[in-house]
Amino acid sequence: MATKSKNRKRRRATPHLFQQAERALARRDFKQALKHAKVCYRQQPSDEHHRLLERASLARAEELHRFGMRDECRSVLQALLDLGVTEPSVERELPRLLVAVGLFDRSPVGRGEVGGEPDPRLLASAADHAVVRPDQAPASLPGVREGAADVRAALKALEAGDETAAIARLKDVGRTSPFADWKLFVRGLAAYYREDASETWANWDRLDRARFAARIAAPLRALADPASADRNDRHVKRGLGKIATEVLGGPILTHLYDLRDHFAAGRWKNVMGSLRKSHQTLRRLDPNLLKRIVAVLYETIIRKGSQSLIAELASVADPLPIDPHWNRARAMLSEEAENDDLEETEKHWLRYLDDLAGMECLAPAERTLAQALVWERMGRLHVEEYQAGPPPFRRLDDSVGQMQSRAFECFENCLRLAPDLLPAYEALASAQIEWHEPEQAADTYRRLLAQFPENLDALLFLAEHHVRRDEPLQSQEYALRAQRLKPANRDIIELVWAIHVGCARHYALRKEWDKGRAEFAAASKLQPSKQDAFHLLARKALFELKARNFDLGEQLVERAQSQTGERTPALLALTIESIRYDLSRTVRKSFERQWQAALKRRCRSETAGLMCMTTAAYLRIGVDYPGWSAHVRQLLAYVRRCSRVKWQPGDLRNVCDFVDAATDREEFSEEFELLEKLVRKGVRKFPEDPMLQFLAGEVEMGKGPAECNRSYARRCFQQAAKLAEESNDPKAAAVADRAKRAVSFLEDVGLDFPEHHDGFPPHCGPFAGPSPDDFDDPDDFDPLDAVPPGELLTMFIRACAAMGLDPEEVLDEAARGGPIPIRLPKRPSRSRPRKKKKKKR
Amino acid sequence: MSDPYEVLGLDPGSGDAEIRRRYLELVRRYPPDQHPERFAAVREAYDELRDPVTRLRARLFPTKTHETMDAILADVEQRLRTARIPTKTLISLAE
Repeated sequence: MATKSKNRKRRRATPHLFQQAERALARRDFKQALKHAKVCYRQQPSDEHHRLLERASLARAEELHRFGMRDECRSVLQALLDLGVTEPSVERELPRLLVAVGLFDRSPVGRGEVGGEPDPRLLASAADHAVVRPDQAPASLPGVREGAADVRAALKALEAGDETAAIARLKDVGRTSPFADWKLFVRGLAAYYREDASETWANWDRLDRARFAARIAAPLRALADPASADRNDRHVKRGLGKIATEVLGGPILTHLYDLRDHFAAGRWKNVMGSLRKSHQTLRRLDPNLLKRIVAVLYETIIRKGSQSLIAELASVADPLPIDPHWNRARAMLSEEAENDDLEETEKHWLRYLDDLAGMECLAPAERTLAQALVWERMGRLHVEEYQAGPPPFRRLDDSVGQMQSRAFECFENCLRLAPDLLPAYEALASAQIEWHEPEQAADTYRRLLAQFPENLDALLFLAEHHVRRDEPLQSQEYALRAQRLKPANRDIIELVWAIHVGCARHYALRKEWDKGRAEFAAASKLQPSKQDAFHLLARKALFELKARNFDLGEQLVERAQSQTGERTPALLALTIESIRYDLSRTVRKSFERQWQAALKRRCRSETAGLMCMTTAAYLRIGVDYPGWSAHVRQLLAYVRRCSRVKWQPGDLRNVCDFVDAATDREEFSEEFELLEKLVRKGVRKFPEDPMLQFLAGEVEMGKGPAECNRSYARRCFQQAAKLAEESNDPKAAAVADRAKRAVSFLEDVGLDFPEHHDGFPPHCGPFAGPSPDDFDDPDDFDPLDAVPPGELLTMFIRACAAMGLDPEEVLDEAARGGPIPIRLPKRPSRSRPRKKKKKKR
Repeated sequence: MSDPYEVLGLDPGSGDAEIRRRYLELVRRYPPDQHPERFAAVREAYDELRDPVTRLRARLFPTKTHETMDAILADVEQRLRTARIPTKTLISLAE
């Protein structure tokens, strides 16, 4: 009873329902408003309630239309039409909505109950809706159905590629026609398909933004000119999705955009999520596209060096055809890992070798070559592993031997599969040189030459290799081949000349005089300017003496001595070469006595320069004939006596070069001070000489990490580079190059750390260990105590590596109290091992 | 730098003969006196691909990525751009 009573109360409460409906309308709750209005009108069908119901119905219908609920909208509007429209505001708005849902013919305007011309906006809307739904086009509006049919026919013609028919179909559409917008659209679309951007924009820029044609054009504009479109616009996004679904066969564009955005922002979790979502669709629709996406992700992850991401990618995506089991990815990631484990890396590469054996994306010949390249890479990795450690540990570590043999094994496997793979030969030879195995390197270069007979590097290496082994006859073959390839190269000409002269000596030792003379003749022909050089005349003289052609020999001795201001340089050359020509003891001693006597004369710049130039050549190439050490010692004594000499720049340069070469030998390393003195003098007297400036930098570096003034060294190298670049001397070009490398080396190492904390790098201080205050007697404090032992060792090794020093050598030198020579990084190619000291006659 | 395969319009697995044929075709189409920039790009791409060892090395041990996610999307969009859209789909864009 109580409920019935309440309902009665509610029914009676009409004014409340009316107000509730009004309030619902005000707060845009149109569904509720319509409900209240209906009850209100049912209870009391007054005019006021009728109008309320009309307004609520229209508002609800508009809302439903906005939500795309077309059928529901139609039923609300039908009910409204059945009810009858009396409210002027509803009467005004209703036709537009009726047109949109295809009920226009049921409206008073559609039924012709209202006179006058239809509103142009209404006509335009009717035209748009008629194009979209021709079956619901209002019959009451003149020309709308026909116009819509024409537009659709024009679009169909364009779809079929018949632009002429499409344009012809709409040629009668006038500027004031409700289909004028569609005409512009069709023209623009035709231009769009033929990729005529200017005509496309000329038409589409004139479209009314509120009309359907402009809405259709929006996503197409976004495709044609991505920069000009707002791709985040909901309508454009949805339109692009629809086009992509139609063209690509599925809804993948959104996934691709998401993937791109996550990838750009580095949100890898989302990248994998997006890929997981779209993977199956992409695989079905466009496997090639999927492959490209996976390739981008794959390579990025490898560069990023993330094992976990590659594992995740492997779980989400199909592997790339070139890496069917992800072994290559694992190997490359393992190479890049901070704590890289060569064994682990090699394990993955070996697996990848198995993959390559049956890889379908490679031709059979390519598979073999690919395997060879993988072996080559493994070989290089072993070499790099060796080079990574500081020098002493290269020798101390037990694994080095294994590393070396494994590297060679890898290169050999590579060359077995691809005997014409030039970089593998070069890498193997370079490793053998690095490991001080010149014979093996020479053997590798010989194999290389069998495949590439015109390889200049190999020819020059072998020529120089045999020169170092005092085998000029073997050397000659390679040098002459190199000369045929580069006939104008000055260095090669010098080498061939020296080999001719060396061959002459060898023929002399074998008593083949004619051949020996022919070699001298060839040398003179090659460099006519040198035929009167004192050192060549000295050699010719000794040759003739050896051939017991005493008259000519004596004449040549005289000529050799007359070529220089003083006899002394020629006597030195005769002394050295008489030993190498294995002349009789009497002759040898005679020349030596004469030279020693000549040495006692007053020192001269030219004499010192020529003698030093002669001796430095033997020292540099490693020709250690019997008695070389005594000669160097006597020459050094002569140089030391030259304190009051008026130096010429070239002579002083030769002297410095000789002393520098001598200090490379252990027994003359104490002459470093003499070198420093001479170089300082050279820089002071000839500041414009690039070679002396360069030597000054090298000498400064040679003082060792604790004493080297790096700022000064850098200044010297910078000056040397500048002067060498300005110089016309061809030798200066090489100095410029080396000086620049020295500057960059110094800049890499840093200029200041030896001055901090008694030589400790700044990053190691302040000391974390005990301080002087911790000791009763401050003298008990040793700064080294403050550094943990492991860290101290690391610091020491790092500092040595940065300075290009061998830590073991530094410790030895420190124990002896001698200077620590700093070696600049050498040029990688053409580096050759020093020949072991061997007495040669 | 652009992908050399892309510049020449070839698949990554193309062989010597195909690369050579395509290169000659493009050189004829873009002679250096008329299209110097395009010719230089074609020449550069061909230099990268002409040696089978270099080519295979680049495939096995990629050091640089020619492909980007944007390029892939641009390709997809280009496919959409050049496709003839059915009238039904086109009209559905209005709603």
